[in-house]
Amino acid sequence: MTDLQIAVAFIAALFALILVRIPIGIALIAVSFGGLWSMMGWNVAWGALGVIPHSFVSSWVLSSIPAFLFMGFICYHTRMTQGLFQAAQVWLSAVPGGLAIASVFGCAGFAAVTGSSVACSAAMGKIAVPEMMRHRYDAELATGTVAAAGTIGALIPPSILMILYGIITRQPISDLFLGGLVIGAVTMLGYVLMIWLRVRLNPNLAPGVDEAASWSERFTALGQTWPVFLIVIGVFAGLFGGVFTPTEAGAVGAALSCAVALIRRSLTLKAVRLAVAETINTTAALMIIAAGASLLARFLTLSGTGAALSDFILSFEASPVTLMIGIVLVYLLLGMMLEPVGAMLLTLPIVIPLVDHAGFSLIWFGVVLTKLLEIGMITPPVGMNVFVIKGVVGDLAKLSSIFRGVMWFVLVDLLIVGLCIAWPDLVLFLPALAAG
Amino acid sequence: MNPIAKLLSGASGALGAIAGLAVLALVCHVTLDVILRYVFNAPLNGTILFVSTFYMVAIAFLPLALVEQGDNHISVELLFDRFPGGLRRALMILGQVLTVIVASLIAIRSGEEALGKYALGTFSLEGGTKFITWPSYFILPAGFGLMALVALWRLIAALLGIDSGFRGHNEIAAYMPAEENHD
Amino acid sequence: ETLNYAYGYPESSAVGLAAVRFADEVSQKTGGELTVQPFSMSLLSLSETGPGLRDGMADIGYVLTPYYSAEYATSLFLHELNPLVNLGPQDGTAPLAYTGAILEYTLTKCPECLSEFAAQNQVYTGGGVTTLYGLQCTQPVASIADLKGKRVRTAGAGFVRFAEHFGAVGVPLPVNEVYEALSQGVLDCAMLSAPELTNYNLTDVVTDITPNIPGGLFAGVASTNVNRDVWQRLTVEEREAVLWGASQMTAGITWNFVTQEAEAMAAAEAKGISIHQPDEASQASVREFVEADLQTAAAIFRDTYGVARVDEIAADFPQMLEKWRGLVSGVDSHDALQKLLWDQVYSKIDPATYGL
Ligand code: NA
Ligand code: NA
Repeated sequence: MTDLQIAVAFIAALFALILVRIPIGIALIAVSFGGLWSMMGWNVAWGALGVIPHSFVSSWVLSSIPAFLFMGFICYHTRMTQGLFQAAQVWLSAVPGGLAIASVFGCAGFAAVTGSSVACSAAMGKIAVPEMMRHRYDAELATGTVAAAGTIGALIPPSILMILYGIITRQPISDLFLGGLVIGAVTMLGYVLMIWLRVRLNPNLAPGVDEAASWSERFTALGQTWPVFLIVIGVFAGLFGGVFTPTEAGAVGAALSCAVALIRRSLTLKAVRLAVAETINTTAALMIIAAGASLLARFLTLSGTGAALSDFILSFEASPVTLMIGIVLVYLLLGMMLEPVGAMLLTLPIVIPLVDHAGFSLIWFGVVLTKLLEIGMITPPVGMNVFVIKGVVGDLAKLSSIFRGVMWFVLVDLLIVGLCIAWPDLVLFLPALAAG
Repeated sequence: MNPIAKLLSGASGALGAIAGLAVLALVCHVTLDVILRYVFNAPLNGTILFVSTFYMVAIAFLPLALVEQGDNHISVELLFDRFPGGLRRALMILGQVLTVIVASLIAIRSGEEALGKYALGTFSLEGGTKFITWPSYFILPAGFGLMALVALWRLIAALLGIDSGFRGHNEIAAYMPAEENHD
Repeated sequence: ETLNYAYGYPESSAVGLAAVRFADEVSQKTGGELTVQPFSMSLLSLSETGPGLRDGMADIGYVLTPYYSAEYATSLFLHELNPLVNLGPQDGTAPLAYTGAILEYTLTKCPECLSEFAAQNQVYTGGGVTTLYGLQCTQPVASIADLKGKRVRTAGAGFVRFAEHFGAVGVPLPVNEVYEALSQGVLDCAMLSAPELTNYNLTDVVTDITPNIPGGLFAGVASTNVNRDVWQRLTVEEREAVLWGASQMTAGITWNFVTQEAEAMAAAEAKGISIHQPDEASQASVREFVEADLQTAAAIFRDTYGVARVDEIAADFPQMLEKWRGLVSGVDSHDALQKLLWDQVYSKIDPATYGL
């Protein structure tokens, strides 16, 4: 067997294992280990097992994930999130799917704070999903909304993916950020519109509130939202005021949440214990998958998958548009299994020359790529954002129903990708405007 | 609770407690660093080292046995639920066998690595202060090793058709359904 | 046979460009019998390359010694002597001289360096250094006194001591967070070599540059370490070809940095960034600090790292550097630098016995 055939066989095995309910992290590690062993020999597989898990996890940038998870769990268990959603409920009672729409806006707001979509889903998941479920929202809609809306976190600046892309391809990060800002906003509007339409057509998805709230009720409800606003404003002000970096924002946000809860006298020992327990449970369940996906990326790199992908893409090179369709297909496929950074590192050396040669702007491509990689965060079988929501909601929703709920958002995403290809100025007008 | 489940639960609870303290330490350490840097222009020494090398590794790997014990590893149930009972049992056993193998392999391999780092006495010099880093490498054999033992006991219980004794005694599992926390 | 070469930098960087040349030269030298497949960042990250190379995940790797200070303590000491460049002429030849000096010293005068690499199952074959470190700031630092109270991104113990000495606040941050930290005001300055301005697009956020403060350069590089099992498996001719490639790589890294520095400074000027050449008083303060700090560094390596021959190396290495200051005068191209490295160092290494 050639290395590439080995890779294909092991990827097939990975899909089979995941589909029969083998824990995803275990399946990823087992397949990568077996693949490296059969292709490169025992020593390499054995070595990789010792090097990668520790080096992948001992990361400063990743530390914002448990921090943001903890912040969300604290806000939830000290009941600071209830006021926010009561307000959203009375204000958006007339709007079909008001809470889900409020969650999308909430995620977009958070996106401006955090650079990773997992952190975004983590922070919003515990705040929004239980409130929607309490209002008898359809479980697929409730969980799918927050898992998908988290992806806005990597589109609206700051964005870890765009920074990495900018460094690798030597493109100005500020231009990428401006393009990402537009696509993040378009994504947000697309999601809101889709939710609104679906609930209009099928009101059972999100039961509305019967009586319209009076204005005094509305402003009373607004008064209950101060804790969360205080935290969010504090985090924003600190970030843009140069007090702390995006990586530090999670920890500072968590500390601020504890402080606000303390002032409200809702910071009980029980709440802290619950929040800590859920944080470690969720982080450990996520990190074993992320470390496994990182191992898989090394296996695919060594198997020469990159060159095979390049051939595949080149077979589309009849015109720039078909080339781009080939690239989109590749990233949708890779996104099913790999985490974005691994997928990017594996493919950029091959894809960038092709894209450049076909005459596409590399700023435009960086934004589209980020969007494509973020779609991978919510597609089965390995969708980190979906896993975060699963970790956050526990037995309230099955993984497969979250994936089903997310599919509607993937459709919107694909439409947006099509829009970007058909009309590149959508991405490029703001960077061009800023350049004067 | 049977004595084996009791012992394993106690051990995973202890590792989980350390991971929990690491979460609180991460939040406090980074916040303190930010405050000292911004207000007093005197940042703490070695914050990034502590967060990445110790807190992150502890938070990610020490709770693995707890997660295993509560059967909270993330997996796809889509097809599984539609399978007949016999097949489900067989697949569950396959999953447990793989988990035991993978967790044991990583525990042994990372244990080797940790002993190597210990023998070298690895450290990092942060602004003139020496911080030893080798203990970080022992977190993996501890986390994965205990995970392997818990998975092994679940496998044995499944093969013998007896109750592993974990369900209902797992603190984390009891926390997870969000519905129960609305009290 | 194809050897996998892992280097944790982007393809378009100074290192990436040199890596392509390395692969080409090895292939040419062996008539295609031995080829090298470079992997930019996808195979191993910088922090994984040491142990990954040891375990055979890659056959050749770009190892940064500061990542594993306990493993490569003596090599690291040769890097930490880099502030010596501030004591020599400031005519832009310092990176070339340091490249030759650290290469020759490691290969011929530092058996413990080579055994440190061997203990990690590696064979050292080449290095390469960056250009001089400067201050990339969002506020003017016209003289060294302006550093007082500034929050400065530092990497490495020596730069932390430098920052502290001049009253700045050393903030350790990963280099890929520098962009945001500068733009949001968490940092006032970053100590980086000029090519990083364009590598990390810092020209977007930096408004002021002070070249050669703190000075010094990054030399903790073993750019083409070969897995020892692989090295022993190769034929003598193949090992010679790898050494030839390594001479190209070592010259390539340094020369690419020198060229990119000129480009980066031109790009910065075109963007309207102010460049503050340090005055003589500032340079004198730096030299004064360096003289004292070299003693501090030596003490740290003796006491903390347990490097036995510290005093001997601290006495020998400056002479080696002085010798290379003379040798590199007139070197004006990659090829000239490579030829000098080959004639002075590599040609004296016997591929039949080295590293076995
Ligand atoms: Na963001
Ligand atoms: Na996916």
